Amino acid sequence: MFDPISPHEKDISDLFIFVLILGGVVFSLVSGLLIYALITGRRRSRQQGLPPQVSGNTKLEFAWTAAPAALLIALFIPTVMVMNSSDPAKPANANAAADVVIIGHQWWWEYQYPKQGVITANELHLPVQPADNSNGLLIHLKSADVQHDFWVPALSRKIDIYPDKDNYLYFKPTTVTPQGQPLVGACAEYCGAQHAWMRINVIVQSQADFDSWIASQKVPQAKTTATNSAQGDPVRGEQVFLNNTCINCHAISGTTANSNIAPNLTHLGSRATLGTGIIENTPPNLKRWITDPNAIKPGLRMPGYSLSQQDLNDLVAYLEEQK
Amino acid sequence: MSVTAHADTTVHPNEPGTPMGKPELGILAFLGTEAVFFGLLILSYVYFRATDNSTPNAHVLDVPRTFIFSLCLFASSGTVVLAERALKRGNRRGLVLWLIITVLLGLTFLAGQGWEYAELFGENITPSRNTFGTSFFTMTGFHGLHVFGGLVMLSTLTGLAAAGDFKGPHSAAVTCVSWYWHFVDMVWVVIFTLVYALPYLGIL
Amino acid sequence: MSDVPLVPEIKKPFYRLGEKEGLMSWVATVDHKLLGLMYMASAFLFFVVGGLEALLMRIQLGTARNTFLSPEIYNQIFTMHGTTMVFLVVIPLMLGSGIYLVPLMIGARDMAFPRLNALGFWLLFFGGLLLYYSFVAGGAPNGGWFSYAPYSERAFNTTYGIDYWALGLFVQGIGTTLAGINFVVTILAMRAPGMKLTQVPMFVWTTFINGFLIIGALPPLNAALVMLLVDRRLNGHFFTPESGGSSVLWQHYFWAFGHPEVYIMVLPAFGMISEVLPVFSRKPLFGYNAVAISTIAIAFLSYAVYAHHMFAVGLGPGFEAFFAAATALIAVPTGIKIFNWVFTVWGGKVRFTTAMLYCISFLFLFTIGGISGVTFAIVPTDWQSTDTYYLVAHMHYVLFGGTFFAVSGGIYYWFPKATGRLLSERHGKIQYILTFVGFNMTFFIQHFLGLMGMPRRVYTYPDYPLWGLFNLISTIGAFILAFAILYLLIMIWWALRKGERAGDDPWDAFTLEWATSSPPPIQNFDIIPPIRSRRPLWDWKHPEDPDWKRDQSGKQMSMQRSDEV
Repeated sequence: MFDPISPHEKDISDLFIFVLILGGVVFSLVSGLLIYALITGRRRSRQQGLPPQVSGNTKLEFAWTAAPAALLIALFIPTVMVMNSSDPAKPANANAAADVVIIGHQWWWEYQYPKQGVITANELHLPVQPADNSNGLLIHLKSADVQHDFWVPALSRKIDIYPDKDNYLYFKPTTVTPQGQPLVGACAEYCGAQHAWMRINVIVQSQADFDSWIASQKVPQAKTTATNSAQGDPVRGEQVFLNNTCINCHAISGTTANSNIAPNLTHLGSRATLGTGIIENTPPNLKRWITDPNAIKPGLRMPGYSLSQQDLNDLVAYLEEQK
Repeated sequence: MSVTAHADTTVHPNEPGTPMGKPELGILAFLGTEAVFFGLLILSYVYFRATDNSTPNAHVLDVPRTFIFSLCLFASSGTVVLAERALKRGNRRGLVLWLIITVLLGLTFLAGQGWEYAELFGENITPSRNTFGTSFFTMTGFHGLHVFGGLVMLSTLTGLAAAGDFKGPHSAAVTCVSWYWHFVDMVWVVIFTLVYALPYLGIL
Repeated sequence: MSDVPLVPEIKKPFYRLGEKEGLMSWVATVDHKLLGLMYMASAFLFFVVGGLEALLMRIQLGTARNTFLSPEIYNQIFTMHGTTMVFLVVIPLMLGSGIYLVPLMIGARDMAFPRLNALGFWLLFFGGLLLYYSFVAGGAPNGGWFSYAPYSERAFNTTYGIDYWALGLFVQGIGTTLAGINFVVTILAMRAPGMKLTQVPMFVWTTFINGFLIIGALPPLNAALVMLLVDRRLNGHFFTPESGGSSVLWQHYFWAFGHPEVYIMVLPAFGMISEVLPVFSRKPLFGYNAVAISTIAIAFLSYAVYAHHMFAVGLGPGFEAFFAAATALIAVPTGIKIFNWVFTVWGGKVRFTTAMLYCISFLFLFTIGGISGVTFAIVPTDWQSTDTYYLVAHMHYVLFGGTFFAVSGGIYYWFPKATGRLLSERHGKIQYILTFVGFNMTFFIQHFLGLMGMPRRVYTYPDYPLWGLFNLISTIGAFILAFAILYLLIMIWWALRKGERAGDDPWDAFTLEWATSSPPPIQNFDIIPPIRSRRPLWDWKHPEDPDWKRDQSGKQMSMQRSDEV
């Protein structure tokens, strides 16, 4: 269940299956007793006279008090064990030691890699972890506005995210995700109009792939030339981006745009989806998005832009070129 | 079939072992809900006192003056007991007199609270200032509303007593209002201790 | 034996109790029977509204990426659905049935405080109207039924919806509290002569405990609502993190109410089951003391388990382990009840009336809901299943499969008492099958959706394999269920006019409410049979074999010990 790719999630999944099997046994027992009582009761109803007016049995009462109590005590032991193994204790300096900082926004995800100095949005890249006894990557989770919840079923427990409370978690993915098939998850605490489209994509890479991804994120945007795009002119597109109010909210590293209100658009072209999972990232979709994002994701804070056809083509060419 | 009881249950006496009548039971249950309500408002004040260091905080309060007005409220719990005693003796004038004194003491307390609020507002300490202001005014404001409600009930009793409604020795209405008044008083004991006395003495 | 004439036939129709007639007889009444029926009618009115909201949600979720409802409208609808069903349907159903039945069951003339009773109803009703007024006042609340801060604060929620939500619930919360007080005092002080507290019907016991639960649990809600209103309208800072407030504090206050609330919504249903199963098994309730004591245990434990709603908050392992243990403990008294009900049927002569079918289904469905509930007590599995459709399924198994199936059983059982007419058994069985199929089709599959990763409270979802299909099945089930409810309402409407005359005691029942006429006269009883056991009507009908001469194995005791019962 949950197709776990981490030892933490494997423990939860195993416990869940155990609990469900146990529940199935208890249900079969109760319903078996009840069905038997009903069948015999129906047969008896055709007979004369009244049934014995039995109103209790002290021994039975003790039995069905003690048996579930024993069962629950037996369940409590693995509960505490899995609590510790699936969500290991965090160090006191967790704030400084975090490998990734996850910040929930209405309605997108900000991912910071403080040790590498990289900030990205909506696609979480993680290096695969060795199958040793270590706890894995230390994650720091917080919110920029309301309450959210980070939940990737295959990876770990879900955990609430607060503006006024720092939460920490270990991620230990031990399997690389296949190309084009990221782990999926979602915000699991209701956070407003577009709670549904606060999807999570997690790409687990080999350490070498992760390092090269980090390196590419740190390199300022590749120099664009007018000749490498038939659809639009990325150099002009950069100017369109910088001359519009895009830069009030968005950042692209290597340019003067450094605002952190909306998703960081550095290397936007490499992402699979737009709008935190709502549509595929293709040039026509990006044009629709820029022109009227509220038609695609109602309630969104981003205004629509009525750019000239050429400006739009150039802007999209610029953004999509950033792989 | 011989032991068939008649069904006029409105007049049957309380079952042996039931210590009080319906009004007394009802007011106790009601005060139970009020106790939980105030307990949680007070808890929120204590919580923010512990977690939020921002100023202004309880140290801006004028403790000696509030203490004097609080004494009026505490004393009124005694005068309402005296009113009950007067009723027990069948002393109608005593009942009316002690009820009037209780109402006056309660009014004095409310006036003191109004004075305090006016001063705090003058210093721009309001519910919107910080968590101290929010929790302080919510808690003391709801207490003040309850004092006001109690005064309405006490005044009603006074009027009824003056009109000769209570012949004694026992009236469920007087008992219930008196219990309610003691409860409001008790809540203020807790609030005064936590919010005024302990910070003043440097303990909290 | 059921044809012993106990009271003369009452000629007045049930809706004209008292001196006044017409509409005023309802508006001005303080009679517990009329008020009880008004609670039920108001609950069904809001049930239809909340049900239509559910249908809108299920239409929207019927296929992936549906655009039937905008996200903002969907969020308002699911908020109103949850709030309506909890506060304006299930609670009024529980209160209303208690207000109607408790005085009849304990042989009283009325509730302890009839005027307070009327005030409680009108506060609840107008609280509900205040909540619904938000639709025309610029937008319904959209914070979900638990309105987590800071999303419910004005910084993120500028319309008046949340204010109407808080005010409406505050008003109805006061009404509910008054009913709770009334139950406790009525049951303590109004029992018929000779009826000990250990002899009242189990429904009275559960309502009694429910009264205490209400007294302890509604004030935290009222306190939280007041604090939210102070924040929103006086710019306070209780739950605003950016200025020192705490978003987690709201959760503590809300769930300190919210978990006892779960039992407020189900304890009287337990009581109904405990009344219906014995009558249609022709046996007394098995383990009366155990069922009563386990009810008390549930009430106490319910205050010690609220934080299992907060396992995803990250409150630390010690805190979580404590609440996990307490939550698991509550399964023990619940299990005791289930086993006692099974053994009530065991060895009996079972009559499969519609009421009985609903109560038997309750046992199955509530057991499923209870077992899926254990998933939320075990912290690591809660970390996966909370806030998903698995939780939505669990909660509906408890509240619909549990409470509403019990209430349906209760309606079929007590409808003849309240109206003097029987609901059709033939149509009742059709209606029961529709409800059973529709309910399970709607909600069982949601367990799988949750485990597949579908969060709750989403207005749409990506088109992953099977997600659309499973949601479509759920939507079809919801329409079957809605049809079943419509069927029930039509049956009630028809039975009120042309239903078969019921007589005073159509089920050959055991408890006092069947000792008076159907519907009962304004004074409830002219005479009350002697009360010497838990089944006074059985003793009346079987003078040769009364309960008060019997031990728990069903044998008659020697006469010397008989008076100790």
